[in-house]
Amino acid sequence: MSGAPLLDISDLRISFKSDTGYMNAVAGVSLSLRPGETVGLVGESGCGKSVTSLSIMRLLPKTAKIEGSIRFEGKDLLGLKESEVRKYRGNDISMIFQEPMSALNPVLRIEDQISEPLRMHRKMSKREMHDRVVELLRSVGIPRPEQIAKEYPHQLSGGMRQRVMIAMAMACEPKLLIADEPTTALDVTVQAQILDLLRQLQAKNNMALLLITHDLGVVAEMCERVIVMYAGKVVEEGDVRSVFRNPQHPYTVGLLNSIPKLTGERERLTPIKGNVPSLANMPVGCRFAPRCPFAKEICRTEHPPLTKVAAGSRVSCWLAEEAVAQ
Amino acid sequence: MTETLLTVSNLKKYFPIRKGVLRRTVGYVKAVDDVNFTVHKGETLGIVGESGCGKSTTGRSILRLIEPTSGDVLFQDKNLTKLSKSSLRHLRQKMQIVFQDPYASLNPRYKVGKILERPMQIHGLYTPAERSKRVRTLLERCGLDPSAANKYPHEFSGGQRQRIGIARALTLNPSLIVLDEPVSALDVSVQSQIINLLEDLQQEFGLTYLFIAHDLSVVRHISDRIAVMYLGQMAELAESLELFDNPLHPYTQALLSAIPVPDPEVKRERILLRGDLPSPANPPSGCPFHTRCKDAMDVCKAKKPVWKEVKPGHHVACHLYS
Repeated sequence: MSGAPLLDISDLRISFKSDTGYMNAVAGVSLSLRPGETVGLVGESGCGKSVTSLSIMRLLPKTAKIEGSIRFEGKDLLGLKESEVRKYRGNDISMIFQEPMSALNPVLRIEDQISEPLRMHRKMSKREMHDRVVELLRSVGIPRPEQIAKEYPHQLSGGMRQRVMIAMAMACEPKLLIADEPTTALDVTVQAQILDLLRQLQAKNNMALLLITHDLGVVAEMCERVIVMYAGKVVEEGDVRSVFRNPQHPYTVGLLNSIPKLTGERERLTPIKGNVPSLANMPVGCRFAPRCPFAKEICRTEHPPLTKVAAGSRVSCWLAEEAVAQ
Repeated sequence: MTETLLTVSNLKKYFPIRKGVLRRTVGYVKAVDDVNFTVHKGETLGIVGESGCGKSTTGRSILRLIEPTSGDVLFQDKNLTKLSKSSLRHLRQKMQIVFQDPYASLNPRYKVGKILERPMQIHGLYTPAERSKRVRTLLERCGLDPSAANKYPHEFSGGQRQRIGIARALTLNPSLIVLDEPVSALDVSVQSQIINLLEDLQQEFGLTYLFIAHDLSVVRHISDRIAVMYLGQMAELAESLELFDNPLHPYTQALLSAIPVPDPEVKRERILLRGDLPSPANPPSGCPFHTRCKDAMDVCKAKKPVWKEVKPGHHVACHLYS
């Protein structure tokens, strides 16, 4: 826990305008990443994890109302002008997305796409640029990099496209890589290759990784810390071991119990009852209360604060609050 | 559990690749290439494999939603591949399918009640009053409010829509249900609800499931036996726990080792596969897996391995075991 954080998000609130008023997609999220650290951001669809990541890159549409602060190396990204943001985007901070086919430009050759961040941020001759692209392709494990550089995205398989995306993100050796469901569209054996690659690149460049996923297996394997989100709020945060061994929030417990085990006897699953609330219809108190087996009176009326329960671990739940008070 | 409900033998589905102005056939994508297996009454047979391995095509060819190229499918002592359209339609009552995407598989312009009544209408079952009563009972059985019958599909969440899809499959009292990735579009917390529902329904109605999925932990949980497919062919078939504890085929071993375990304290030896899946239009000679196999021998390039039972109930197609 030493040193200044690389990325520090505090009380981030994001809402989108709709016919009936503002929809609160992210409601007060705080998180921080140290240099070189891997943090997992988990949650189900609609919990606000992707919106949070897009806001770091300032990629949300203009209609989004963003409040709070996102500090990168002490500088508030939300206060920057578009031209200043561009100096960070693809340079100090890069991002890879879930669906590599829709994230790559289908009419540009691989080489032209990978060299784009280099053209933006680095002064290089054409020759140097070409060499760098080939080197990048090689570093992400692409065979025949000289030839692949001349090809188009549709000529590559899903796993190869994701490698190209990673090569592009690594072009300027970013200090922070945001990976939004990087392996969700891939098969397990390819997923294993890509995760392995990310781990190697990270160790080599001392890069921080914010890994956004719904797959708890991926988190357990890749991350040092994990942040669990539910309906636009952080419900639990801690180091991976303690969150998986000893989850505090009933939602985290429920999520872990919902996954079928890979070893031992097969037992009946214990699902979380009900459905994720819609943005237009958020419960008043704790947003998980309607589905929580332990919900009490206070849970339905007041939202619990994110409380520190142990070193580096925080939980937003009235039950944990009581336990700490005692 | 020994009574056989479905026997699939030498099932093949080749999709022609056509080129040129005359649309001449220049080759075939061998989506399913000589697949053999049986499904016992009341069991769940899981079929796993990566995208493009032919698992969905297998499921659909069995129901003849895709016309198989050749092979036999025996269901309740009738050969489905030889049946006429009308007798096939009659038999379809007994075999139903639930699709992956609950958004695409329900007609958005029909109310849920009508979606569920249609199959019974088409097959001329029950009186209108009985039908609507049955719809309500089934909706309730699948965990929805009976009033759901008066709503449109868009008014439901993904999990609820999948419940509607399951209720629809049940309307005709089937004995076999093909479940084609029924939970992969759902969030984990909802996924487990649907899995439990499927297990309950199987108990209650004595259903037989063919469960097609790529999520190995889900398949392990729900299946009695699991078949692993690779490039249109069967690689291995065994009882669920046996397959996970003692995988024989190198592909199965790699596949199982690639699953991320949701436990940070488990560190596993991972077999990383080299390269990508070869194209099914141009599969490798001999064993389809030999290009990526860590144990590949000379014979693997030349000869296709035989599908054989190496232990009671444990089938594998690999030269290491012949």
